[in-house]
Amino acid sequence: MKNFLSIGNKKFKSRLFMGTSRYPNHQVMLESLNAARTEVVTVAIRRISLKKYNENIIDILKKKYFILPNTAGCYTIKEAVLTAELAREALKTNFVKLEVIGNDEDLLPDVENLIPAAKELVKKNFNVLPYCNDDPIVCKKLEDVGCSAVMPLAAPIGSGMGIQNQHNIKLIVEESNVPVIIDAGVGTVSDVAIAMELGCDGVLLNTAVAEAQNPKLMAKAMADAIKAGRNAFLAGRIPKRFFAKNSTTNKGRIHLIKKN
Amino acid sequence: MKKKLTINGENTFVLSETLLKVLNEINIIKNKNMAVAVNEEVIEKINWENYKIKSGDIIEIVQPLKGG
Repeated sequence: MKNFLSIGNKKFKSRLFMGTSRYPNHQVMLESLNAARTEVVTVAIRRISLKKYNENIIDILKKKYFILPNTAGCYTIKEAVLTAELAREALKTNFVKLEVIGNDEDLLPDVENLIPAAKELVKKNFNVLPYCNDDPIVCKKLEDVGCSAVMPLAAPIGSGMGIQNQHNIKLIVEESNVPVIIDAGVGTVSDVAIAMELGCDGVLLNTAVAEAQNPKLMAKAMADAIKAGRNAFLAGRIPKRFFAKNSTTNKGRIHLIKKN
Repeated sequence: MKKKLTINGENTFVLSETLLKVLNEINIIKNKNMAVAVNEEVIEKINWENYKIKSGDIIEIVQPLKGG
């Protein structure tokens, strides 16, 4: 039984990756990350303000978590590669969650630029975890250029709609030789459980916890769903049937003789 | 003579000659989580002290922030 999630040279016990955005405040964020029992948290790379105080949450997060920088908001290969390089310098990590998006309306990946960006970063010795479409061919191409994992979306970022194409996710899981981590679009625990039941290696989420009525409780529920879904996958579910199948045998049942 | 730079998208005029001195001049306090690129090339922290800045340079100063 595979108990650890291995990405590059890293091994993680937790299969839940958490974003750090959109929480009501730092305290709630830290409590929620703790309740989620996560080991990996994502951060963005942004310009320092030249005029006002710049908050620094990284030192606190670094003490407890593996920091995965993202290239959120990048539209071009050039922007994404430079952002990853700045992240490497800032955080001394080769890991990057690669995002190259097409526009800021739907925040969907721009595959035409994503694949060459991934290729370039792999060449520069990055462990690339690309946020990508739920497309088995795209995921295969990302694996082929040397990505350390693939991170297909469940649904658009922040939409909370859950896995929109379970069939595609299943195909990606079956065809992939690198970890498959569902990224974006998770709304609640059933989405996470389904991802894990389908055989995904992990889930990355943010808004579903950060904007829940009770983020800390939702974080705990997500962690429980990861565990339950993973165990269900390992246990092997029964096939779906179109007709009923009795669970109790008919042998030995009482059988009254009909009169007339 | 003052040099005209673009720092984080803003036109900025500085007197300093090196990257580290430019950062001091614009009141950026060096911290270990920062990163700087000059003309789309990352400059490692150990080289800030000697890296010469010239007029027209485009400088990006970033740090990790909350993100998903």
